[in-house]
Amino acid sequence: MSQDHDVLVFIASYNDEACLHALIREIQTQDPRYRVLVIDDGSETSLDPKMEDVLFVRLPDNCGLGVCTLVAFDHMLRHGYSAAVRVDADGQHPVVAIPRLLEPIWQKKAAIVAGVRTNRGEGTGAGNIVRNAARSYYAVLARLVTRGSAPKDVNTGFFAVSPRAAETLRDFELDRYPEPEMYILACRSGLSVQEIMVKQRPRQQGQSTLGVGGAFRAFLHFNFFLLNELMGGARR
Amino acid sequence: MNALHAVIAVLLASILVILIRRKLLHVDLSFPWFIAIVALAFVGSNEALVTQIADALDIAYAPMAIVFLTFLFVLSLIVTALIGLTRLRHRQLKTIRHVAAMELDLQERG
Repeated sequence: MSQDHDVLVFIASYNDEACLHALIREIQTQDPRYRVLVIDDGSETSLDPKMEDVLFVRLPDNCGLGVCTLVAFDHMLRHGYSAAVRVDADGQHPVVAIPRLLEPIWQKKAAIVAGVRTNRGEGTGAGNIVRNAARSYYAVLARLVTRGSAPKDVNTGFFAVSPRAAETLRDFELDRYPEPEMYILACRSGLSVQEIMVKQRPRQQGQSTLGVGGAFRAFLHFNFFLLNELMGGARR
Repeated sequence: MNALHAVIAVLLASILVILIRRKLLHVDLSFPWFIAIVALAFVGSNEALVTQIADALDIAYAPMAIVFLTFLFVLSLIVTALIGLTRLRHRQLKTIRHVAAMELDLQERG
């Protein structure tokens, strides 16, 4: 590993090429210690960052965010990075908040820091009401099974992890939309999880990969996961 | 066993052998199918056994017992296939992670 990079900032991307270059530049100008890793999660047309000092890997199939996260954790541990940060490829995550996200890890106060979106419930219409209800359901159950130690927003994908957290979580099978499971597993594995408040930016490109079918699948997955956890533990 | 039962059983077994020979079906995964064919051929050719099963399951029309057993076999075969598929998916994801790690190692070495 190069001496001047010790934070791995990974971007899992599926058909999100349009704002990727701007996002990478934004991360790189933020701090020279940030090493960007782009994981192309089997996009229909292969991404090509064509940028120096960017690690890039293309998965042969659309494996989901869980596998992309595990690929990043594997790389982080193999090359001794001090922390890893996940940033979404659609430009919604505020890159300027990365130092705040890392602060509790540098101070050894937390193994995982989640960026809780202060504006996550904004919007109008029936779809928004359903989304907010689902988020509340996830959050309430997550806090129940972790005795209040899970973050308030367990759906946030903007987070930082320490090597210890990555070492623990890489042994679990993380699937599509892995965030709620990841926070719950971390809390139940005895890792300290903290949260910071961030303001999510408007989506720069495309639309959420979580459609109605995906949302139902994620919901079913989450409930099976909880049941499994309560019955003795997730699959490693 | 009447001739028609024997022909159907041999036909199903032949299809299975062809699938294995053409590498469309792995030998390990074909095992439950062989068991199902042999079992159905045996039950189908043994009227006394069919009647016994129908009595035990309170099935009024005895031949329906074979339909019931076939349904059970198909269900267990589907579950076996899904278990095989799930195991394969886990292996595939492990391989993908391993290959990605090697690819990124090369890039780090520059």
